[in-house]
Amino acid sequence: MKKLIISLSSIVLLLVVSEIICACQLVVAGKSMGQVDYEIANLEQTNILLSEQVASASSLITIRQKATELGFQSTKTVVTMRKDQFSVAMNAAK
Amino acid sequence: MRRIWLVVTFFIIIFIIISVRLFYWQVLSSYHLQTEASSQYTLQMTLPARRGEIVTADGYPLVMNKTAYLVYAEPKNIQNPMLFSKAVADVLGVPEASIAAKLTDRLRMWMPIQHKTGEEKTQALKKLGLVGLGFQDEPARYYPEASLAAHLIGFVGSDQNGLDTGYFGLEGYYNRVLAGKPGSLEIEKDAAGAPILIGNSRRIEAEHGSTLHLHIDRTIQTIAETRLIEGIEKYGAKEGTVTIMDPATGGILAMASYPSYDPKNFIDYDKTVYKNPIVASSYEPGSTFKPLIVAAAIDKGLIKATSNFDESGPVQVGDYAIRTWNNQYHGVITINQVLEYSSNVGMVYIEKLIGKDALISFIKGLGVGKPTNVDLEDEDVPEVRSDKDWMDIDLATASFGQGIALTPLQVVRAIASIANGGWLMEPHIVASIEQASGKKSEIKPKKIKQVMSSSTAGTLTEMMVDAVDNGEAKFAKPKGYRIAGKTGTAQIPVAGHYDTTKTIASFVGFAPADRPKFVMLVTLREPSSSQWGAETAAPLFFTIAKDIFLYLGIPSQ
Repeated sequence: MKKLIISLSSIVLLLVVSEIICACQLVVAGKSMGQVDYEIANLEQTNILLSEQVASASSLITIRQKATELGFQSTKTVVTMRKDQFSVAMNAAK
Repeated sequence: MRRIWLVVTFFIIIFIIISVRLFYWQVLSSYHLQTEASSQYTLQMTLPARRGEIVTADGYPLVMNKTAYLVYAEPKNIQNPMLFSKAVADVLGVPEASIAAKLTDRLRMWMPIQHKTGEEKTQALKKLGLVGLGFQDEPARYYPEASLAAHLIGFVGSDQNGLDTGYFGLEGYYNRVLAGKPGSLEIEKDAAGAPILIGNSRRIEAEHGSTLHLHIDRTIQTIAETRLIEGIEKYGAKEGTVTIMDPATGGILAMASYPSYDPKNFIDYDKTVYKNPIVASSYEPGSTFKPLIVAAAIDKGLIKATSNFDESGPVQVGDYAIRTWNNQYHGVITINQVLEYSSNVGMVYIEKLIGKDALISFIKGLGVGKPTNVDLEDEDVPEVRSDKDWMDIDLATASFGQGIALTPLQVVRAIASIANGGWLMEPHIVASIEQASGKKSEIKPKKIKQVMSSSTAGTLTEMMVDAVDNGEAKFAKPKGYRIAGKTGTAQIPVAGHYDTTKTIASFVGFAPADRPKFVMLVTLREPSSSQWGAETAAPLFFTIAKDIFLYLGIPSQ
């Protein structure tokens, strides 16, 4: 009987101490959680900024500007090829 | 005994006072106290919903979000307001006095200086290291293609509560869909303000706004806008519009109008320019309406393209004499030539064949007088006179597109019915809506009704091809392409009469005629180089069409 009482008391004491330790650690972890939230917000901001840069770099305004700088010009005349004209290349391949 | 009663009375009064006070604190003020206590140990914040993007058919964002900042001042902490105002004003590019005025009340804890400030300016301000200057993140709209499709998109401004709200165009029409729903977070915090994990917490996630995927093609939109501005300069017009639609689906491929505005700086523009004239303003379509009336007569078996008509001179309708546009008459001509010559006299003949009731019914069937239900906020429908108010002269003028008002979109939709085998389609800007979760819902093409038979539509297509090949605008047509079209020159009604010099020149058509990829309407208001559609709107139409052929890889025959 005495052993049982001692065992139960030890278990209860162990659980109480464990709870206190866990609670203390979780309370401190709040700070870490805040930091993680801050990191998430920062990464989201970076993503938004990068998306903005990608969209800006691939806009028709930028493409047109760069094409002009590189010496490209819009075509004044368009040449279209008939179907039978393709056979020249096809024949060459044969 | 008297003393005892005095003491008892005193205690009773004290007891009542204490009871009343307790009732006040514990019952009447309990909610307020609970809230105040809660604010000391809980962290409450709104989880903002990200506004949805607007994406073109090629998957490119026309509108997206970017990070911006609310720049604010803390007047209480500012030592020298004059120096502070000057330094901030120089970076923000605003008058120094406007900032100084906000700092006059030194007791204010917080005063906003500028909303939606960009990254560059914010970084420049941060480098100044001014005491009493603060920054807070806030979302802003970003337009990678600048003012492209401004009328179509609309803009985001603030409502009466200072919250972001969409106005005009897609931003206005789909405001709720784009805005999403903000969430909230309530969690216990420690003395340092850090959240306590084992404490109570309540988190409602934000529902981010949906993304709109459009029928709009970015390249075709750019072509339309660029060419429209060139055309307006070349022909000295005051205003102009270009509307391009896919006749098979009713999807709008491009919608350009000028004058326009920059949605980023919408506040700098006159409010009258915000509305999209393609859906909000009406005009008399003039001769571009003629193919539809001819279609009504052919559909009823009253005439054929080869039927003869004697164009011998002006026709009298009541007190009015109806003449041709150049007052020249060709004698016996076919109905096909009525369209080629754009004969008003011939149209009055056809209108009389159709008859009053059938003509009114056909015009209403085209959706005239009713909204097209396009997904834009600014749609405004011009009224049509009631059936009993139609006089003979009204029917006669309506046959050649005068005395009847339509929006440019209504005209495009009606002509699209010729291009697609006779079906009146519901026009749409948005092709699908994608929720933040990735779930996508398509907006399927909607056929309203068949307004003419497929064979009538085919006949009209050939007549419109002939009208282009043999009409006044044939000089501008790109070689090797079959384009169906019709010019229009409508006088502008001013104070109860038509101005003899001011016109709206237009050209409507579709191409390639056999398998139309697009229907397009070009309108130019008061062109000064020539008042005729054949010499202004038609060449502009063909210039845009050539660019689209090249872009879509449509070869000449």
